[in-house]
Amino acid sequence: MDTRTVVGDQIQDRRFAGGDTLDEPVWDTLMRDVRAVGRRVKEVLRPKVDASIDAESGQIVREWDLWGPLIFCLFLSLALSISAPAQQSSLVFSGVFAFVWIAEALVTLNIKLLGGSISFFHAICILGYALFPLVPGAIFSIIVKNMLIRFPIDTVLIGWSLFASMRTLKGAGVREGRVVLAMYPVWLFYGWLGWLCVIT
Amino acid sequence: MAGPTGASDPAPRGEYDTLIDVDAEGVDLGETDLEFHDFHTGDNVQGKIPAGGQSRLYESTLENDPNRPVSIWRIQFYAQFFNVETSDVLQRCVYALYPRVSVLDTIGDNPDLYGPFWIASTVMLVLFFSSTLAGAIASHVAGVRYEYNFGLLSAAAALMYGYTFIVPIVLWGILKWYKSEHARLLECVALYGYANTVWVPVALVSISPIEIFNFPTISNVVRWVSAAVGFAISTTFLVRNLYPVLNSTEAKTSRILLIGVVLAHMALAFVVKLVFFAYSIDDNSN
Repeated sequence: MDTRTVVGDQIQDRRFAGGDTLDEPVWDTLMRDVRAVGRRVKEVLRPKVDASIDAESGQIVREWDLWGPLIFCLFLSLALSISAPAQQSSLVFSGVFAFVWIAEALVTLNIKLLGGSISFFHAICILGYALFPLVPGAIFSIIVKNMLIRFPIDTVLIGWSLFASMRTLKGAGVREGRVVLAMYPVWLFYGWLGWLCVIT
Repeated sequence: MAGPTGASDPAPRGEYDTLIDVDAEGVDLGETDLEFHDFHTGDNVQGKIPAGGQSRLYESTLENDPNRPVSIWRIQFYAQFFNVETSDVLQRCVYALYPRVSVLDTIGDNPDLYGPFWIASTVMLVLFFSSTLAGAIASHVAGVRYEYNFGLLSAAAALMYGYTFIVPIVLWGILKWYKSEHARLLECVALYGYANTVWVPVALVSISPIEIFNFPTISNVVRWVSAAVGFAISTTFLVRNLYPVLNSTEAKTSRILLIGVVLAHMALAFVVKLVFFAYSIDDNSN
């Protein structure tokens, strides 16, 4: 049960209004989280940069959760391991899974060490949600075998991920002179995952 | 009107038309103690962060006192090794690629860990990228479906992170053993880290798409030449910057250390070429 309350002149969405969630059907519990994940995906990946909605979208994204990142990481690893060379399937699955989480942690740590003011899990949440465009890219690579077709499509998807994560991180509160230093590892992260989708 | 002393003044400064400082060195509580902290935006100080100090929104101002030693278990401690701007990092990379001056003066007072770690990561990913791309081209020429080897990534990671961090530690340990006063761990790591920059262009050149035109030997020659050039540039950079440090030991030791540094780097160049770019048309197994 999501409610909207008016606090000051901000409209805030609460995840649930209190009340007894213990007796509700499991389906309702699941759908609430699924809908929250869907909302966050939409907010993170929206291509329009609209300043007036930013306050509300900021609120939605500020309530971080790691379900989305986990689901996308799982699907990505699964898709990449299916299309990997036969004897390497399990290695690719565990390798990609480990790579995604370790890299997300390192990128966030990097931002904090450079003086960023973003919270640790909030940054991981954003990076994980921005992984979403690569999932259909990996699934597409299962179907289409030609690398020359995969390459432009995966490039566009990488660009979308990068744009979404950079827009939502908004420089992550680091100083002007260090924004490139903070964002460069993000490029490495999505770039390499996209390349894996191309050659798999 | 302002009160007799600034210290007993309950209202925040700046609210008066005239401000009379009776005490030239009154009790300075510091503005942060009197201001309401803005918890919604990151408050960033201008200029470099003093060692150990960092503006964290939810910490008490007492912990921002730069005189208080920062524990090794807090992130703040490690933030002092990342005290660089984009322009600094780029400039150091350029010096590494074109080692005409000794950069120990610029790196020396502010060695950073950002460069070593992220350049090593970049080299690892670029090696994987170039190696798989070269393999894909070779397979395409041979008409065989390309199957990449994910183990290349772990090999690249072990190679780059191992070399960038373990070799400087060993070098520093040896220098300390011989009681050299100039040895500083962070400088050694920073030097080795930035010396790795050269492998990025080497890897990209070694993709060597000439293979498409069925010139496998020329491809191989190009790869060996690029590895050799990379070795030359990075060794020049390393030796030029390590020379004053190595010289602070006695003559025989410093010569041995110098040879050791060069040999280790040569080994790295060989491994880079042989492990990542050893494709030939006949066999695709790598």
